[in-house]
Amino acid sequence: MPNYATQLALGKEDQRFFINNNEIPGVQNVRAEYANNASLLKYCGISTYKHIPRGMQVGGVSVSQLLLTNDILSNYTGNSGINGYIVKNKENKEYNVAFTSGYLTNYSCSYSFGSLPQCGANFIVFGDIGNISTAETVSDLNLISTGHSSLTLKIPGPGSTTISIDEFSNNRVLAYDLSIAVNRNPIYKIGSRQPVYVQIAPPLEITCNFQVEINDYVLQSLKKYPLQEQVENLSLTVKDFRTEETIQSYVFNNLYLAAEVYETNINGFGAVNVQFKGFA
Amino acid sequence: MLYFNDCKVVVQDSGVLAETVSVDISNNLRPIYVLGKKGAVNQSLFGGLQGGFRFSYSVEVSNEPNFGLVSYIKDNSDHNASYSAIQLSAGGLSGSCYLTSYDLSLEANGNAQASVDWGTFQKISGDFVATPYSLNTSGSSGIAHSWTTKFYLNDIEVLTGKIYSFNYSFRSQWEPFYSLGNIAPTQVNFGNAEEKFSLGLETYKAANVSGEFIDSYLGINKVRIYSLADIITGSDAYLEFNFATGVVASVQSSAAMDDIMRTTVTIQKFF
Repeated sequence: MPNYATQLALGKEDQRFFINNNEIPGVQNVRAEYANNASLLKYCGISTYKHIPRGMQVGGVSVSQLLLTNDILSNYTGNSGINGYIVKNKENKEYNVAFTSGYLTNYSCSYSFGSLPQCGANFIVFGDIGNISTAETVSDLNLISTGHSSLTLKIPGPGSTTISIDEFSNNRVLAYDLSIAVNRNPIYKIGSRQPVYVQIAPPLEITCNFQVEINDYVLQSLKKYPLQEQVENLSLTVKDFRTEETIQSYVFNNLYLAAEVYETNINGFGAVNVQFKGFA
Repeated sequence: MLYFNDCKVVVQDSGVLAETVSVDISNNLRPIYVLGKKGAVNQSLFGGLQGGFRFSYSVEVSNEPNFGLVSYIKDNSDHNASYSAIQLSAGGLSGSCYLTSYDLSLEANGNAQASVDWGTFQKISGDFVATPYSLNTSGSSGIAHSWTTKFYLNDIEVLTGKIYSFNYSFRSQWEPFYSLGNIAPTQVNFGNAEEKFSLGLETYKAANVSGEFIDSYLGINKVRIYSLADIITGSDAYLEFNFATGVVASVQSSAAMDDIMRTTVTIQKFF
C-alpha cells in the first residue's frame, strides 16, 4: 500500500531552472531532450546486427518564461555557450537534469492583449545532457548552492508598450510576436566528440509579426516588391505599468515588409497580420 | 535469387563489412579483318582476361585484411619478394586476385570507410550461393572511428593542432607474363606502387617547390586509428598510417558558405 504522505511525484515547487549559476525567474516550461546517434551497421551478408555512432551527438533544450523581470534569454544570441541545470533545490546537487555547451538557436517574445508577455528560447546542446557530473557542473552547482536568487517584479501592461511603426498609430495592435533565429555551425575535428568551434552562420534572421485591427491601415501589394519596398526601423519597448521602468527594449533597423494577411468575418472586425523581416 | 544479406564478401578467409560489391571479368576481344571481305570474318582474343572484385566497406581495426596486404607490399617493395594471388569471394563467386587500389577516408564524427579494387587475370568461378556473414557482436565495437583517431610525430602523440579530415590512397601495378598454351599468366610480378595521404587543416602554410618532408612541414608523420573500444577499455589495437619521409606534393585551400576556410595538404610516397 503506497504511503501517500510520501511525495511520489516531482511538483513544480521542486523544480528550479538555472543558466550557468543564475536562476531564471518566471519559467513556465523547460524541455530537455536527446537521442543518441546510433546507426545500424548494414553490410552484405548481414545476419547479426550491430550499431555504431555516426554523426554529431547533440541534444536540445527549450525554455519558456513569463516576462516578469528583465529579459535574460535574449542575452544568449551571441557567440557564447551556456550550461543549464534543473535542480530540486539549490542544495541538492545529486538530483539534476543538466546540460553543458548549449547554444541558443531561436529566441522569441510574444505579447497579446489580455495576457502577460512570454519569452522563449531553444538551445542546441553540443556538450552533454542528462544526469551528468563533471568538474565544470560541480563548480556551477556549488555556486548555485551558495548564491542568492532575488526577483524584482516588473509587471508590463498593454498601455505601457510602445511600437514605433507609424502605420499602426491609428489602428489597434492586438498582439505581436518576434523571433530571432541564430544559425549555429559546429566545426568538428578528428579525434573529438565535441566541436572545436561553434560559429554563428550569419546573418541573424529577425521576424516580427503584428496582429492589427484595421481603422485606417492601408495594405501594400504583392507587386510593390522590390521596386516600392516598405522598409521600417522598429523600436519596441515594454515597460512596467506602474513605474514606467523599461523591462525589455528591441531595436531592429531596416526591416522589410515580408507579408500581409487580411481577414474579415461576421464575428469581428477586419484585421491584418503584418510580417516584417530583417537581418543582423 | 540472392539477396544482399546472403552475399558475404571474403578476403583471404576474412569477412569484411562490405556495403557494395561488384565482380566483373572481360575478354580482350578484337575483330579480324581480311582483304576480300568487307566486315569482320571473326573475332579473337588479343590478350588475357581482365577483371576483378571491387567493394566498399566499414573498416574494423582488428580485422582489416586489405590494409595488411598494403603494408606487406610496401615493406617488401625493394626486395625480391614473391606475391601470391589472394583468394576473394562474394556471394559464392571467387577468384584469385592482386590488390590494385586501396582508398580510406575518415571524416569527423564518422567511422573509417574504405574501398578496394582487386584485379584478376583468371576467370571468376562459382555461382550465386547464399553465404551469410555472422559478425561477432559481443563486447565493444572494433570499428575504426574518427573519435578514437590520434596523430603522432614519430611515436609521441601530438595534442595541439586540428585535423579535420584524413584520406589515404594506395595504387599498385602488376605485370602478368603469359606463355602460349596457357590462358592464365604463368607469372605475375609486382611493378611499382605509390601512396598518397591527404589531411584537412584550418591553417595555410606554403610548401617548397622542391619538395618538403612532411615531418618538418606539419609536425605530424603518423596517424593511428583505434577502435571504438578504446573509449571504454583503452584497447591498444590500431591501424597505423606512417607518412614519415613523405614529401608534400600539393597544398590547396578553399572556402564555402557557412564553413571555415580549409587547407588540404597532400603527401606522396613512391615504392
